[in-house]
Amino acid sequence: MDEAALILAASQGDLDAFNRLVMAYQDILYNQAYRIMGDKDSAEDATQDAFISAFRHLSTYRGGSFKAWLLRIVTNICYDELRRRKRRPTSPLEPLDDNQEEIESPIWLSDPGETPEETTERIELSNAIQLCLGNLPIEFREVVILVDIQEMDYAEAASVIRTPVGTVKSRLARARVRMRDCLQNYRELLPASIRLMGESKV
Amino acid sequence: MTTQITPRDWEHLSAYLDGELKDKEKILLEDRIRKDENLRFSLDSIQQVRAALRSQPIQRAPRNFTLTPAMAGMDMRRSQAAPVFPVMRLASVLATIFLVVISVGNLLANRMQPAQVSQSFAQQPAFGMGGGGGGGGSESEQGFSVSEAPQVEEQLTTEVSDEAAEALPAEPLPVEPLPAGTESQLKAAVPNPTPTVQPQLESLRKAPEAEQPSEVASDETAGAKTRASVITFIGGLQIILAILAITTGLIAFYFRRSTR
Repeated sequence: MDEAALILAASQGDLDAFNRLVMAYQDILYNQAYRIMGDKDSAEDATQDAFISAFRHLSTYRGGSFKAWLLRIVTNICYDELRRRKRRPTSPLEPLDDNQEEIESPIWLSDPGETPEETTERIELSNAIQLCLGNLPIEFREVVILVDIQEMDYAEAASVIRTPVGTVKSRLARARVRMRDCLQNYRELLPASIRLMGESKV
Repeated sequence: MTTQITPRDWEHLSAYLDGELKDKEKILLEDRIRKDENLRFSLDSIQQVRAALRSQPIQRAPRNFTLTPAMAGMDMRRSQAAPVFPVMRLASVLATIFLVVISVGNLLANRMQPAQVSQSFAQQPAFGMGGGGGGGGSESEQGFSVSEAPQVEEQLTTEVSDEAAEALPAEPLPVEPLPAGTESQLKAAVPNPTPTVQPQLESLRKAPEAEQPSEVASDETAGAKTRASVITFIGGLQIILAILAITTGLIAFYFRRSTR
């Protein structure tokens, strides 16, 4: 059964059909939630809520990319959760500097007593990337996740976040520049294939 | 040649990497990159970032997120409950409004009634059931003579008693309290005044002293009966509305809680 038939059946209350769609998209949704939320438990909750919400609101699906529709739902759920956390802040993970402001750079995770090599060994690249992603404003984060991690094109990303393609383009560029600045601290973690990238082909 | 990288340049470099530039823009940018070392260096740096991000493995779902019938059932219950809440809430609000309106109206009517009654009886001879407080003070001045009451009593009991016994309801009629003395006079004059007694009472007009009080008594009895039934109806309505308001309010509250 193809996707359209499954969606139609699910919209008529066929739970098995919907669960086949869940199986097809759960990795994508979980990955999106994990990259936005930054922790696995929250990502699981968001993913489950997204599928429940999708089942409830399947009648509002008006065609187009079903993947984009699901990603929009999970992204919105992550937003809501992040906003809720912002309204009810818990103890910040980041330490405060002398001005009582949060130190946003993930470099604080490194032990001052550690050598750069030890730090490099301790922090994996994926953790560094996740930390840098976490430091991005949410509107930049979602774009860079959609384009660089979910590997969507600009038009598809624009349909997920419901913004013009031009907005996606500018946000993505700014997000990449910020990621570059952040990842400068972990340059050693980058694989050689990436580090040596740049002997421009132009 | 080296130039400052503007936000516009970053956008173009980023879009260039993703193949999202138009052909013309792409040609222009490639030409600039060839000539501008800084631009080339910038392109390399964000290319590394892009490659680093794309090198990240997809995080696999740690478990299946398929919906169980319980999950789906829970949500179906929620969606079914969705229209119940506003309906119950509306019903509760309407019942409360009606209850308040009726209660206030009833209260106002009760306050106005004694004034109207006393006003109407001030214009009549001071006698009768409805005389209430108004008739009490003037009994001694005019109207009914207590000594003549037994004559009326005899006639009424002989002529009317049979029909009255059949026509009258088994239950005693609600009667407004009478001033002392008047009640006993009335009982003597009209044991069970009802509309069916009216024709027989017409014959009693020969007795002018008893005629007028009997008519008034009959009218007042009918009025009291009507008022009593209205009061009963309003009271019942108030109770029903109160029960309706509370019940629907509780149901609305329950559905509100259960859908959260």
